[in-house]
Amino acid sequence: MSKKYDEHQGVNLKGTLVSVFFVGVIIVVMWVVVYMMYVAR
Amino acid sequence: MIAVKDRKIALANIGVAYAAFLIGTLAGLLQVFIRNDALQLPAWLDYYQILTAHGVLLALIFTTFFIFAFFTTGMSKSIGTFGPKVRLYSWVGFWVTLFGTVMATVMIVSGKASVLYTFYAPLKASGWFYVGLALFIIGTWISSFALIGHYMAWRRKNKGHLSPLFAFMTITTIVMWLIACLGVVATVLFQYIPWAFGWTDTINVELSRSLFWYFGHPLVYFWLLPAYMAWYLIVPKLLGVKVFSDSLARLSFVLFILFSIPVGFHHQLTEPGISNFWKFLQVVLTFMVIVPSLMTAFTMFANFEISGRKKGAVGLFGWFRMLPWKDVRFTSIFIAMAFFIPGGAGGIINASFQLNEVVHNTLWIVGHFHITVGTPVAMTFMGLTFWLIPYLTGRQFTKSMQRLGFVQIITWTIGMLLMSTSQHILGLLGAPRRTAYAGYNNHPSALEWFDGILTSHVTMAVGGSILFLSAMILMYIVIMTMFLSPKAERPEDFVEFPLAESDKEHTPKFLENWAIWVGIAFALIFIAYAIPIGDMIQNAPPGSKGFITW
Repeated sequence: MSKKYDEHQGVNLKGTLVSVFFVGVIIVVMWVVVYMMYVAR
Repeated sequence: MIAVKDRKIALANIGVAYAAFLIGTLAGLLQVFIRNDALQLPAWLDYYQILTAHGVLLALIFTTFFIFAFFTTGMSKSIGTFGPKVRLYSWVGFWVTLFGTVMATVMIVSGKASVLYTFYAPLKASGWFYVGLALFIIGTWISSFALIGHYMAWRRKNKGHLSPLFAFMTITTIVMWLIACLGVVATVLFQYIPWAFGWTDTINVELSRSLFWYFGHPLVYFWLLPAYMAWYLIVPKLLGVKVFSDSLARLSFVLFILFSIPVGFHHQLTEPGISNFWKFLQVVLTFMVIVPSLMTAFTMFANFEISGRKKGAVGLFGWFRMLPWKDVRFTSIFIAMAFFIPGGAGGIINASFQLNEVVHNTLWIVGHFHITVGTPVAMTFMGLTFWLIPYLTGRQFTKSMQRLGFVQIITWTIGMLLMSTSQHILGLLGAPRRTAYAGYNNHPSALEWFDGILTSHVTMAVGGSILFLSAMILMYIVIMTMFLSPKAERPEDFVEFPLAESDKEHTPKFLENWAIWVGIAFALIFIAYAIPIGDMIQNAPPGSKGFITW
């Protein structure tokens, strides 16, 4: 396998990066909300 | 088009899947009305019978038969027509699975097995219910080994080559299923059946629950991985792109073999019979499942973006508008994926020790179930149904059926949003699950939970009713495409199997070395389970006699 091989060279995936961050934010926000409920109880 | 004889196997599986779907969704509708005091059941039928039927028929029977229909079709298409032995064992597997299904369903409907789909001891069903379950599992094993045999024949003929991605993913899912079933087979054969028939007086409850969840969590992935197969292999074809990365897809699937099994204790975090260390270890392993899940999320967004940009999209999110929204095969699966974002996040909450204390045994879990298996998995299967049945029957998927498909997925989305949001919020407030009554003898605090617009019984009932309406529209589409739609005669009328191309030229060969992955899987299972299970057997708690509470 060639180390230089990259089938996605030059592909613009900036929207993908932001979208994945968006998923991450949802996970963190939901987690924190329920954690705060746990702490408050 | 695949061989007629292979098509028959797939169609038989789909037929059983949708028969189970019909009864299971009807049981769901009855439940929401009972909870709303809008329905009085006849004396021979009670809430827990219906709840058990709903869980078993939808979560276990519908999914399993549909999955084998999808596997059969895809394996025949991607690695060739089945040989006579593969076909014979596929049929034997089908009939044994069906026989087990009928036996378990008869026991549920006749009121001898209202033990819910988790069949937790010490609730005791008729011994025949457990025999039915065992036959169900054995049947799936026979079907699984038939597909493995087909795959091995292909590999013998194609030495040194990686198998097509569909075949690889099918075998990954089956390998995980076979390993996972060892737990449930052990508990059903050696604990439940002797106990239910009276050959033993008591049962080790903690051991039975642990063996169940050894199976129960990978069961979730047995539903999910075929949906992921559609996401990795069907969606790119609908988008007009290739599989984003063959290596990434294969790696994420083998990671699911490793990390979906040694994690069952995260369902048992509140149980006293397991020490903290083993719970902690399995929670850590559970969190490892996030890695392949996020790899999948990344791949999906990348597919969307590449497809949109190919069509000339500009800007950060210009590609979003360019997605094939008018294609119901795509839109259905897109909605399924969208539901999985909060669904997956909810899973991380469930598996976090302290947060689990907030949601354990509440309606949150029911809501979680409905936005994981009930929509991401089920709606992906619906999206597959739209083309799979006409592909197998050689009938058309007409314009009116396509429009009806949109009505179906939109109603499912609305119904599920109403019902599952309500269940999530009610669960956070403390409303319990697994019970017909949540008012704690009309305690004011408990009654307050149901006062909100989103959290009232009415909202849940409206959501449930819309879901049932959607299910009936789907049944109409299924019956039409199976028996009544016009036959495809011109080439353009034929429905295709939309399978994306996958470039495996640069995929490392070790990704298909089963000895590595199965070896690591068993090592992880041994590390996570050997000592605590040994402890449960050696220092067994007092056994429990059976209880029939219904």
